[in-house]
This record gives sequence, C-alpha cells and structure tokens, in this order.
Amino acid sequence: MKPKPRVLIVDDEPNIVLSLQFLLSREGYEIDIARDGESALEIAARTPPDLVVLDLMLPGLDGYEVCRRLRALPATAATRIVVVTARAREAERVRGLEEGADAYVTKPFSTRELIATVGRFLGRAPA
Amino acid sequence: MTRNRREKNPPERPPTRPALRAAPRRKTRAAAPSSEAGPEPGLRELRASIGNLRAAAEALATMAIPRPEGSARASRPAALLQAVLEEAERASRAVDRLAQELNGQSASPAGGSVVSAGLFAAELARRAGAELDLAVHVAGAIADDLSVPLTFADPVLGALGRLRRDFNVGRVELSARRHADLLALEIAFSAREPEASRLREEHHTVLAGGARGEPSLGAAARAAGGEAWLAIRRGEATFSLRLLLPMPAAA
Repeated sequence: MKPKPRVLIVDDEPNIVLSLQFLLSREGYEIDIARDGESALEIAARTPPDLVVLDLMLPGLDGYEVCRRLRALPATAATRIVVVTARAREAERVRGLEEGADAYVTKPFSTRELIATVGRFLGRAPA
Repeated sequence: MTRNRREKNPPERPPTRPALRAAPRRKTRAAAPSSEAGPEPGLRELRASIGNLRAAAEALATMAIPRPEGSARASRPAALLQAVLEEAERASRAVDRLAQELNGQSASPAGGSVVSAGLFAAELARRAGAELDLAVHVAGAIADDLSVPLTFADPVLGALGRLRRDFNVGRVELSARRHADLLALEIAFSAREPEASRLREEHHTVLAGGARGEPSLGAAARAAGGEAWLAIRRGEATFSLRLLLPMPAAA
C-alpha cells in the first residue's frame, strides 16, 4: 500500500495547528507538528515530509530561515513549502517566494483553498 | 525560556473561575522592534486571530450537526455555526481592506528626499568608493521612473561596510528594477572562503546596522513597508543583498 503523504505543520499558534491538523488528517495525510524552527528542522531531517505548512513568525529561527535551511538539506531540497502567515505585505510575499516557498498564503485564509493547494502539490484532488 | 505574551498591555480582568481544561499555549513573540511600531504588528495579530477563528469554524463545519427530528430547518447549533462562519469571512474581508488602506497611507516614508534610482546608485557608488574602498558597479541602465528615498543611502552603506570589513568583499554589482508596485534593488557579489561560509552562517549581521552607527537596513526596510535580506545561491559563493520597497512618489 502506498504510504500516506507526510505533511509537517510548523506553527506556534496552537489554535491554528488544531484546525489544520484535523482538516489535513481528514484528507488522509500523515501529520507531524513543530512549534518552532529548530524542531521543524529536526523533524524534517528525521522524517522528511512531502510538504511543509510553514508559519513565518516563529520563536527562535524565523520561517524565512527555516525555508532557507530546508532548501539547503538534500532530503528536503525539493519538498513543497506552503507559507501560511499573517505577514501580508507585497514585499513580504515576494521575499517568501524568493526564499524558496512554493506558495504564500496570508491569514486569514479559506481552509478549503489551503487544502486544495496542498492537494495540488501532492498530486491529489481535495476530498 | 521566558517569552512575552502576544497581547500588548491586556486589560486587567476580574478573577475568573478556573478553566475547565488547560488553556492552549498562546502564541508568543519577542517584543516588536521599534521599526515595527505603527499599525503593522496589530494588523498581523488581528490577521492571525481571525485566521484561527475562521479555520476552527471551517473545521467544525465539516462535522455533521443533526437537524431536529422531523424538522426541515437547521438546528440551532448549525445556525449558530453558520453565523460564526459568516462573521469570520466578513472579518477576513474587513482586515484585508483595513490593511490596504493602512499600507497605502504608509507606503511612502514620511519626510526625506526621494531621488531617482539612477541618482541613488551613483551616489552610493561614489560614497562606497570614497568611504569604504568598495567598488560598486551599476549593471545596466536604470529606468527613469524608479525612485528611492535618499534616507536609504546610510543603511545600505552600513550593510556594504559590513560586507567590506567583515567579509572582505571588494566589488559589488548593483541593479534596480520595478517589481509590480515595488522597487527591487539588488546588490550582487561573490565572496571567497572562508568568508563565504561565515557569511552563510552570519548573514543576518549584514542587515543589523553598520559599524559606524549606520541604521539597520532590515529595520529601515520594514519601517517603510518593505523587506531586505541576503539571498544565498545554493552551492555557490555568490550572494545578493535584496531590497524591496514600496515605490515612493517620483522625485
């Protein structure tokens, strides 16, 4: 049987993690959770995810740096990264994409659209 | 590790009964630097909070809520959930509109001269040569309609000074172009080992302010509604200092 695609959620907001974990698990993804940048890199090195949902404003290493380091690791160089952030200025969006994000979603967002984006990247149609 | 709560100066509340279950850990942030004063930190907090509410309501909506037996109408819990969903979407639209208005107001930094990007580049090259012994080569023609607040000369020189002094960079290539409504300034350079490896690790120091007291380029960019960062090309010893700024009114 084909293993479930693995999604790593990196966010220190427990309330958004709760919702995303529920909704993405419901879509059949295996979910890992990291509350900060350092833990995200440790988890990604141990069990490389197929996709990372990444907040930018994290304690310690910020999301830009996490993005940069994920891109530098051979195991995660090609991993899809979807930035989900409250940083909504155009310059921040451009920077996020130039730092290596595949998609940049600003909060507040439609979870249906986010799930569709994740599904497209992982070669799935949303349920 | 002690971390600050996200809420700034929350109002004092009367003692309440203990929560039925442990409240989830709140998102915490380091205190916003002074460059982040103004409406942006509050807007971000509002975005995050509305985003959390909306996601939770949408997650809840995926769970079936039974209709009252024999009734064609939605149950009261379902109607209340629908109200939460509608209000979360309404608040999402409102925060986007508010951000547009506020960012429109703050797109041009207050005070100071605005000069054409070509003049800015020439001034930067002159001062970098004279003050830092650093060669700034301007790559290609710079469009006449691009402009930069002159106040950015000092923070950019501070960053160039860091490159010259701390990472032994002797020559950079500067280019400027329009990126949608933003001015994109790029300063490309290469570094030799061991400085290149050190720069990969310590890249944030370049943007943190100059050794002669020049302001932080990162903070100056954020205060103007823009961004500055050091882009590192993987596997190469080439780097580029990127500066994105909302386009101010033409000089």
